Amino acid sequence: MWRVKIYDDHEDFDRLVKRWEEPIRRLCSRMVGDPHRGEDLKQDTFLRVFEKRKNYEPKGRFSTFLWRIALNLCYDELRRQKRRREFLNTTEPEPGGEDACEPASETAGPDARTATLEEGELVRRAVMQLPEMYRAVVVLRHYEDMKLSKIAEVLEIPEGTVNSRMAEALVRLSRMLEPKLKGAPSHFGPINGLNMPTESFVL
Amino acid sequence: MNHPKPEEWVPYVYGEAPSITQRELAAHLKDCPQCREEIETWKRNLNRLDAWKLPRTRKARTAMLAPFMRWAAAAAVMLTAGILIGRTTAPKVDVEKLRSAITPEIQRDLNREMTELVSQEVARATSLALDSSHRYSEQVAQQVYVMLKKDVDTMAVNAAVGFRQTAQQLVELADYQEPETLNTPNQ
Repeated sequence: MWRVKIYDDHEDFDRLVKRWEEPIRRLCSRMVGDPHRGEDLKQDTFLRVFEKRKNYEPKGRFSTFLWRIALNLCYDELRRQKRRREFLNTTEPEPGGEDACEPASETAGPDARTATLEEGELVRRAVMQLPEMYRAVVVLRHYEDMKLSKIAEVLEIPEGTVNSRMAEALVRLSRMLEPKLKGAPSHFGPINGLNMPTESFVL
Repeated sequence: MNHPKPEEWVPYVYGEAPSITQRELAAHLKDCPQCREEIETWKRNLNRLDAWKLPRTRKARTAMLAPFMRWAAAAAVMLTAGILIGRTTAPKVDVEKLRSAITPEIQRDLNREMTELVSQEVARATSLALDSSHRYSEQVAQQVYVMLKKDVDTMAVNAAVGFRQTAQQLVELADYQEPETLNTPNQ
C-alpha cells in the first residue's frame, strides 16, 4: 500500500485489489445479506481506498485499514436501507435486508413457510436478524476466520467486548436456529456488560 | 456450581484460549451437563452457519481453470526459451561466402523457371486463341446455315403458292366455254 501511496503505482494497486477483492466481497455480501449489493460495496471499498491512498498512514496492518473501510461502507448501506424503509413506511422487507423475514400477513404459518426454506436461507435470515455489531463479529470470526484479537483491532474495541458480542450472537443464533432445525433453547442469560436489546427473534 | 461466563466460552470454542484456560474449561464441561449442552448447541449452530453459501463470482469460476492455464503458460515459456537458445547457440555463417556460392545457382534456377513460365504462358495463350477462333467459326457457320434455311423455306412456300395458283388457272381454263351469243345468226 505504501508503494501505491508514494509512487501512485496502479499496478501495485491492481495487485492489492486482486489479493483482497474476494474477502471484501464476502464480508460485504454477508453484512448486507445480498451478494449483488456486496459486489457493489466491494467496488466502493477499493474506490475509497484509492481515494484515500494519500492519507494512508502505515501504522497498523493494511488489512485492518481495508476491513474498517469495508465495514463502514456496509454500516452506511444498512443505515440507508433502514432510512428508506422508514421513509416508505412499509413492512415489506428489502431483499437481503436486516429484516428479511416473511411478512406476517401471509396465510401459511411461519413454521410451515420456513420449513420449506433451505437451511442456507434460514441461516442467512438468522444472521441478518442479528444487530450489526453482533453480525460483524460473526462474519469476521466465522466466515472470514479472523482471530478474536484481530477482530478487536479492526473494530477498535477490547477483546473482551468481542468475546461478549460473539457469545451474545451465538446465544441469539441458537435461539433462532434451534427451533427451526432442532429444539432446546439456550439457558445462558444476558451477557454481562452488554446493553442488549430485548426484541424477540422470530424468523 | 460456578459456571464460566458465556464470553469466556468464546475463545474456548474457537480454540483461542490460553492452554490453561482451555484445560480448565474442558474440565468444567466434563462435570457440568448444563454448560456441556449449551456449548454443544453453540457448536452445532456454528456448523450450521456454513450452510449459507455465497454465489461464486465469475472470477472464481475462471480461477478453476488457473492450474491448466499455468501449465499452458509454462509450456509456452519453455518452448520460447528453447527456440531462443537454439538460435543463439547455432554456429555463425559467413554471409558473403554463402552468397557467392549460392548466387549462380539461384540465377540458373531463376532463368530456368522464367523460361518454363514463359513457354507455359505462350502455349496457354495460343491454345486459348485457337479455341476461341474455332468457336467463332462454328458460330458464323451456324448463322449462315440458319439464314440460308430461312430463304429456302421462303422460296419453297412461294413456289407452292405459285403452283397452286397455276393449277387453279389450268382448271379454270379447261372448263372454259365460248358464250353462245357469239354464234347465234342475226335476225
